[in-house]
Formats: sequence, structure tokens, C-alpha cells
Amino acid sequence: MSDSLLATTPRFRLFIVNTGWHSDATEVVEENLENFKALMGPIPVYALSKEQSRQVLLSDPDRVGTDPCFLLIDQHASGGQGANGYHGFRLSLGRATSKSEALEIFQTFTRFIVTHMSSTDIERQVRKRLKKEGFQNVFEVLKNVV
Amino acid sequence: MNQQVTNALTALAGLFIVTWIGFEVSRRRHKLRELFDVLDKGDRNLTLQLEKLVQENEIKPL
Repeated sequence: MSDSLLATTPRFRLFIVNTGWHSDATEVVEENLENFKALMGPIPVYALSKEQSRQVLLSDPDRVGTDPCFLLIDQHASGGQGANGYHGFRLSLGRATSKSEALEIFQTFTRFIVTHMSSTDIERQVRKRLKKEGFQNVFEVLKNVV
Repeated sequence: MNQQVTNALTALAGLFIVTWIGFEVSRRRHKLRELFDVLDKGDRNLTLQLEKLVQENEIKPL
């Protein structure tokens, strides 16, 4: 991306893809969207319509049924769009198995973005977090064995 | 003879536990990555479509 385009493009864009499954995750998103939007501050939040969401998910059938999905795209990350792919991360909240779990995951996701939105490399923060969660999983499994 | 059987059973149980731990850790890792992960090549189509919607003014920020 050219420097002039970088200057006029917001660093992040957040997309909400939701085809409208009658699920706990959809309820959690609908009930907390206003709060979420307010907490995102300068990050533009785009909520796709149900029809747009269906069209988008049809381009990636593996993701069907995992919505509501959140995709945060970092437009300024090194490599940018193109051969190196896009930068950012996603949350597939439709994978949550209960309303309380969906809410907890949504809150954790929101906190993560708010905490790291000024980080120069947010993907690195995501990887660190995943590594930390991975270690916690190992300890939990070992604890169950013991 | 009994000692040999006991040793074999202990080794078998140990192997089973280690295999189970590996399987369970891998299962949890996979589940976590399905829930939350960085964008990769698999997300390229989806991301391209989202960017296209913005560029064509099909969606506006809330």
C-alpha cells in the first residue's frame, strides 16, 4: 500500500459476518453490539447484512456455521494485501457452546482489541496469546491426569 | 513371570496416558485455533470479499 493511501486509510477495519442463526452466540452479539461498537473507539465496525454474510461465507464454505464471525484486518501491517495475504485475526463466536461461554469469549475478544489496538504488531500479540492459552491447556490436561 | 506381566501392564498404561495427553492437548489446540486465530491463506477469499464490499460502498461503518 502506498504511503499516501496509508495516511488516508484507517489502520484497522472490523467486520461482523452473521447469517443470523438462532443461536446463543447471535443473541450475545445482538444484545451487546452497541457496547462493543462504543468500545472499539476509532476502529470502523462494519456489520454485514444477513444476505451479504451468506454471500461472503459461500466463498469459504468451511466457515459456514461458525458465524457470527469477527474479522479484524490490519491495513498497515507489513506485507499488506496481495501476495503475502492479509494481516489481522478472526473470532468465530458461533463455535461457543453456551450463552455464558459466548459472552465470556466476546468480552475477552473485546478486551484483547482494546488492550492491543495501539500495538505495532497485533498479530504477534495474538500469537503470544495463543501460545499462552496452549500452555494453559497442557497444564489443565496434566492436572486432570494427576 | 508375574513381575514381567506387571511391568508390561505398567508400560502399556503409561503409553496410554501419554498418548491420551497428546491427543487431548492437540484437540484443545485445534478447538482454540478454530475459535480464534490470525488470518492465513485460508481466509484470503473471505477477506478479499469484505474489502470489495467496502471499496464498492456496499457497507458502511456502524
